[in-house]
Amino acid sequence: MKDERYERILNESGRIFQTYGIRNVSMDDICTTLGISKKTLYQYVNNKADLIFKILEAHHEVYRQFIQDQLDQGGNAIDIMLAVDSFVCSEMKNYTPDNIFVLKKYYPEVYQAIFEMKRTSILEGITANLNAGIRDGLYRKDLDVDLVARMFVKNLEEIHQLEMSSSDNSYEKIFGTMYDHHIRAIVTPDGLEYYEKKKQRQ
Amino acid sequence: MFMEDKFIAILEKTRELSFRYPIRRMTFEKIADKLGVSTAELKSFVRTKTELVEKALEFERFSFQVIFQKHDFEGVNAIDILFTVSKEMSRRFRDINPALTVDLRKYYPEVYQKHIEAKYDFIFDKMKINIEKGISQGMYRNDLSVELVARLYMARLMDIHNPELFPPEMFSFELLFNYTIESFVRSVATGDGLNYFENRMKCLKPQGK
Repeated sequence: MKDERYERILNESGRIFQTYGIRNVSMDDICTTLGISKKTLYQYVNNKADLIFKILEAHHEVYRQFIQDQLDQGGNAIDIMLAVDSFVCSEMKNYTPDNIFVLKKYYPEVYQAIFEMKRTSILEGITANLNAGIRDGLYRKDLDVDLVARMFVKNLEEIHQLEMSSSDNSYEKIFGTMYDHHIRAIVTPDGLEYYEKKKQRQ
Repeated sequence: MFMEDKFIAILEKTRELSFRYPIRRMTFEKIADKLGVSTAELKSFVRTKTELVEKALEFERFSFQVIFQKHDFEGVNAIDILFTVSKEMSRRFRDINPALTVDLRKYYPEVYQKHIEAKYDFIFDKMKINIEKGISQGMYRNDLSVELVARLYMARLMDIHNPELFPPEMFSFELLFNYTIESFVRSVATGDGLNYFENRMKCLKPQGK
């Protein structure tokens, strides 16, 4: 069931954390900025860690919903990958490594829980995508789906740790390259032709 | 790097020994005994266990560099170079037990860190050369950003055996390594490069597989 007040709390406190940094914002600040009482806030969350967890969970849900919408619109495996690529790339513009660092250091349980939830969800998503692509003749049928799916997740996780010496490599560019390489590594000749045509049009 | 033959033999044996026994649990004397030399003799080459580990890792890097000395890659197709290097690497490194890496990282952090950095620099350099070569030969796409692609694949190669996602009992080093190389070529190749690669793969794959 949709609770608009709850959604507003998650959206706005997420934005506040992102702007000012997790460590610099207290639960009192959240209440003041949103104009709600502490009692109201604590109806929805147990504490700050819980609030952060729920924001990140909701954030991931947006991503999952986005993929579902693409699937409902009947996109093939490559369409979905391209759509997710541009979606994630636009998200990466707001990527704040500082907050990730703080999360890891001061809220390790939240970090771990989110990390695992994402890993499982991405593994499932990419496995489904690989199987769909193989079925439609866009991806090679000799692929080891389990291996490729795990490799995709590993590469994705690695990117966050990648220290780029030259500053002209934005996260956006790194992400785009990773996606591009993932697709090229798995396509059939038909898939490649489709991919390149579609990419040109973008 | 110059090393006495006798010392090289000791390091080779140390390498094999480290696959079977955790070095950290053995005393210096015990190691000498297992290597079949006297403690005094081992002491003439290295004074401590840490120094032995350091030299063994140096030797490991040296073995990797030897691949590039053994083969003359001048004018060779970039994809063929990858095939040659990965064949040599699989032969030499397939036995490495991931637990050994964990041990080294934990018990010899400084020595291990230095090793990793030196190894990284060496491979990163070779990787960039390979990408540039492939582009100039028309085997790799010319819109690649050499630095970025080299870094991406370095990250993959350096942490190939991430045990959480790839439990060693399910995924061998060889399988992961070969997949990484194959996906690299497919990702960077031009149409010509891809054709070349697939023909080469056909020749390499055993019949009936």
